[in-house]
Amino acid sequence: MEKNTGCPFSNLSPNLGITCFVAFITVILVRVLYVIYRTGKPLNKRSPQQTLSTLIVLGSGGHTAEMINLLLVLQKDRFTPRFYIAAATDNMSLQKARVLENSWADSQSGVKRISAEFMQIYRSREVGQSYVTSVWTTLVATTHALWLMIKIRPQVVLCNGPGTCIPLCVIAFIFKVIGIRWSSIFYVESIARVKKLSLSGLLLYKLQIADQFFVQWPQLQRKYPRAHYVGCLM
Amino acid sequence: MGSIVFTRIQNQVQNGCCRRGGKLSTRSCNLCTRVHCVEGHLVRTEHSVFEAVIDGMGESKDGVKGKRVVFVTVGTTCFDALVKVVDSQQVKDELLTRGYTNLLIQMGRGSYLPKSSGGDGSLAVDYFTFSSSIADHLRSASLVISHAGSGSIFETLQLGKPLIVVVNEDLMDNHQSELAEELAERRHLYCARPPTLCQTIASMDLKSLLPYSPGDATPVAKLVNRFLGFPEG
Repeated sequence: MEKNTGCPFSNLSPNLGITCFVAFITVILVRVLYVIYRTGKPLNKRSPQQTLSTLIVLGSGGHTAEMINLLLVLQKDRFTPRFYIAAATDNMSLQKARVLENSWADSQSGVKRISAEFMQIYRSREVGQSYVTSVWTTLVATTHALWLMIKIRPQVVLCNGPGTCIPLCVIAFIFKVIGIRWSSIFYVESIARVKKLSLSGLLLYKLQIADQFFVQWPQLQRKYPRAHYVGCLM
Repeated sequence: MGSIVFTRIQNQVQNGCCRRGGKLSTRSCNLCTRVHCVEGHLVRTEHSVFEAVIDGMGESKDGVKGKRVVFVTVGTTCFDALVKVVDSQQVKDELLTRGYTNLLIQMGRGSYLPKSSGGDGSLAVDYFTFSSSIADHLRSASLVISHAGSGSIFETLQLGKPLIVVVNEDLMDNHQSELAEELAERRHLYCARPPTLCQTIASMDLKSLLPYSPGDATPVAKLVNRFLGFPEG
């Protein structure tokens, strides 16, 4: 004889709900741990002809100059298509990137079309902005970053310090966890950082979000052993 | 004669070639336009750290006699403290004593206007706010006094110009001073603060500065390619 009346699942659904929730959280945690484990491990060998879509994060002044120095020694036909992102209030950086891409396109004259796109992103925080209003602007910036990242889904992310790279790198990490795209994140700490890391650098290093972390001065390599010392880029 | 030591260059010099593989002669390499002193130490053309060495060789490369410009730059920042101290009579007198004839100030977003002057044997002073590229001003300067921005610093060092970096004490998070102090320790430039600038100019020995070899981004490219699984080369 049945003890229960009504829906036979009525007792089951709260338990089922909780079980599903716990299972879901466990899967996410395991996945996050797996991503942290795999972060920093070199990828499998690939053919030299393969191309990787690349996101390049630009920052004001010295940041862009250093990034351009790096781009000059990377193989243009390997790291393509290229997407440049700069802060909305930074006028010079995208212009400099455009000049660089144009000079590359000129030297190839008609063989390949320019495979570069230039985008602007809202800043998380302007210099001197109060930390209270920064919470809101960071949320706006992160939403905007999410929108851009979903469009781009890069395989490689290159950044070197500006705060604009943090939302983008965090989202790239989340994409790894969810499985949307496995992007290798490379961070080069600015040449102006000799003894202490910048805030962006500290976050990406401590949270183990960057796959490879480069520093330009030996003092930093001693302090942060997982970083690679590469000497001065400028 | 200047006794500047360039360890890397010296290794190559011992093999009888300059940095780019050209053959050394007593005056110049047949590949690059750099001038070598008779001991094989690499020196550069006029308006550089090694002016004294060139003078010692008894050869003057350019026809313009006498004009020695001090170029002051604050980049895109506002650094009134530097512009003020450079415009002070003390500093101008000191520059005159050290043999400079012109003072050109790029004052950026600052609000302090220097007193333009010229003629009658004193330092000729001129100023402007911004220009799209300061490379030409740097090239024609005999001495550069700059704020501590990494862009200005490396642009100047790469042109081989003697440099005094002045750290802005009013900046909140002064990480810029780390770079200036490190490069000063490595003897590539002099580091000062606005109150100590005059003293630095009086006591500086530009011949003792070491040249800065341009950096190289290829180690990063190599590591990135290797990580991504691309074959070497």
